[in-house]
Amino acid sequence: MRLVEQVQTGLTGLLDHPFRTFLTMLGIIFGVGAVIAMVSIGAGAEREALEELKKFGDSSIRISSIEIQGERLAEALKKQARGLRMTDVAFLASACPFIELAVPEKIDEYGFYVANTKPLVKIVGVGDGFLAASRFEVERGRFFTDEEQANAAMVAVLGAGVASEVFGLVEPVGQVVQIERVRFKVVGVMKPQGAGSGKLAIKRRDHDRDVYIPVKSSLQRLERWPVEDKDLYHEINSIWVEVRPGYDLLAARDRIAVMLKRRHSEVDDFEIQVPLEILQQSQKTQNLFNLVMALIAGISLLVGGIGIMNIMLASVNERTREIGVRRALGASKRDIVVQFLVEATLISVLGGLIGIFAGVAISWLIALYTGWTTAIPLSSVLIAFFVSISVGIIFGSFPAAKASTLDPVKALRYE
Amino acid sequence: MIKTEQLQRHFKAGDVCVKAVDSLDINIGKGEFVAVMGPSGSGKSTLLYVLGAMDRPTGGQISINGRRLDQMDDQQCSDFRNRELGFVFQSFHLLPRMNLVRNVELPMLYAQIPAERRRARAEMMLRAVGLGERFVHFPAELSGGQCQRAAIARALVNSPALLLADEPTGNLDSRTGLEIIGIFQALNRQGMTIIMVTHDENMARHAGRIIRMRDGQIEKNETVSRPLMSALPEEIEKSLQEVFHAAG
Repeated sequence: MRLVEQVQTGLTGLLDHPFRTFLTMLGIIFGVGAVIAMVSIGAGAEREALEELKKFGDSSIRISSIEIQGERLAEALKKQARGLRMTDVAFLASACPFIELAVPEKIDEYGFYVANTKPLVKIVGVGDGFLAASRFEVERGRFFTDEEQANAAMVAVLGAGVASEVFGLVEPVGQVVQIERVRFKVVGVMKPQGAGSGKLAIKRRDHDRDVYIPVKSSLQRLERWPVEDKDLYHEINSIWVEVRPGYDLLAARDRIAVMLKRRHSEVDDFEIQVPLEILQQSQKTQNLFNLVMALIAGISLLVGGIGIMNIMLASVNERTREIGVRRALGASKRDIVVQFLVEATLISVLGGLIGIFAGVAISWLIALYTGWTTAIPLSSVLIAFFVSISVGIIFGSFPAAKASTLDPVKALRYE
Repeated sequence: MIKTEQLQRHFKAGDVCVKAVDSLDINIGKGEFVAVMGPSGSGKSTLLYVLGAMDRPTGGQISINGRRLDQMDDQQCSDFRNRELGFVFQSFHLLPRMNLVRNVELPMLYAQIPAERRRARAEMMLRAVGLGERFVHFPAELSGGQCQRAAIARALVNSPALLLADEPTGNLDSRTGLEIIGIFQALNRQGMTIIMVTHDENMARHAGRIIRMRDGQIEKNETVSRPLMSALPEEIEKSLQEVFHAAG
């Protein structure tokens, strides 16, 4: 008997008991659906992390200051430690041949005035090479030049969010803004960055609300009173480091850590993050998550498969006479095996297909209601499909073998 | 056409060996209509199923149309049943969830015959046994006699050389039973070899020979000098003739 006809016969057989067939499929539907949905969450997180990494670059290292206070601050001051400073930046750039760029970043919440409004922004003083290190881009106007940087010029570049909030439809470039008591000229506007989702566990503020000025201008022209010791401890907040191509990122990180620690009199007042490493770690977590998923999937498909086997055994029993009749009319053992295998496989494959659709729908709903990024890799769909087929074949083979080995004469007389 | 030598089929039930068929030598020629009779447990049904390649003999030889059944494997037996044999059972054994056409198509499905030819031939066979209006009916919607006629159509659909019937009239009233015997006789007149197990003496008297069995052995082998005749509606007789002429 041809396979196409076996499939047709099998389908009609299943449609004879639509409800029973559906219940049997449920195990597979739930198993496959849950896995597709879970994998879509994992894959979405991974895709997001990769995009995040693209923003940071795979050759960057971030050195961030850690705020210390109280006893620890007193102890650090006693040790002559002075926190993260501009001199650290100069030292790193000159002492480490593997560093391509070291860019200081000083973040303050100075008063920012435009016309009669005082929007809340971060005043970010940045050093040379900031655009290259941050991979940010200017949308309108320009970024400040090295010369303006050296002269501590009073020029500012607005984050996209600040620019649109403050100036609306007015062209911001050329306008004047006031930071504390100093007037700065706006020379450019940044491209919108979008807020970081934080999936990578790297500190990322809303860069669209930044106002960039030369770090020297920030250090020399803006002061804030009253000043506490802990606010004076660190001169700058962080250093963006770009490592030259060909150097090992983690070795570079370790070298920097050792050198800075020595400069800081062994005080733990900074931390170093490598986005690439964090991504790799998150991928490790992801792999663990995937393994657990695979286990759960395996268990639910096992349960689904046992359900199929159960129903197929009942069906063999119920159709003993039919098997006898078919044997009498010329069905070989092989024909009977194929008949029951096809039915079991149809149940699991249809269940798998419905499960795939259910999983896609669930993942879509999750994305809709939680705002998480979900992605459905083709591989997960294909694997789900082929696993469904295998479940049907594996769990259908015992009932099928049982059906084929029935004594045809006894089967015919079975009441 | 059918020849057995020392044919035996023994069953082991615990320590007891039941000799359902024991040392049988049978010769049945082509075109014969043979009735097999005997009390329950005499081995007549076992003999039928051994002849029908459904049950394997435990000893002896059996050949049908020159082919040795005792030496065939499962696939060969299945093909043999499919192409050379037609079965008719006491309780019809039509599959309840299929309509008549699909029931009759079943043997052709296992013979790899393409769908259109299957359907055409199934309809032709159903018409030949007088069920021309019942193609899409299900077995449960038909009378016993109609079911048995559909079963005969199914048995004949692959043009077998031998028709095996296990108490074909056992579930029918005597009038309908005679109708079925009428069809058998008509088929026999077209040259079909038929072996029919029955314990209805009256039905057996319609055959050309009666083999009486007891305890797995032949008790008596008698030729019926003047078989009874069962009248058959003329159109069925004619349509059966046509089918056989078409088959060549």
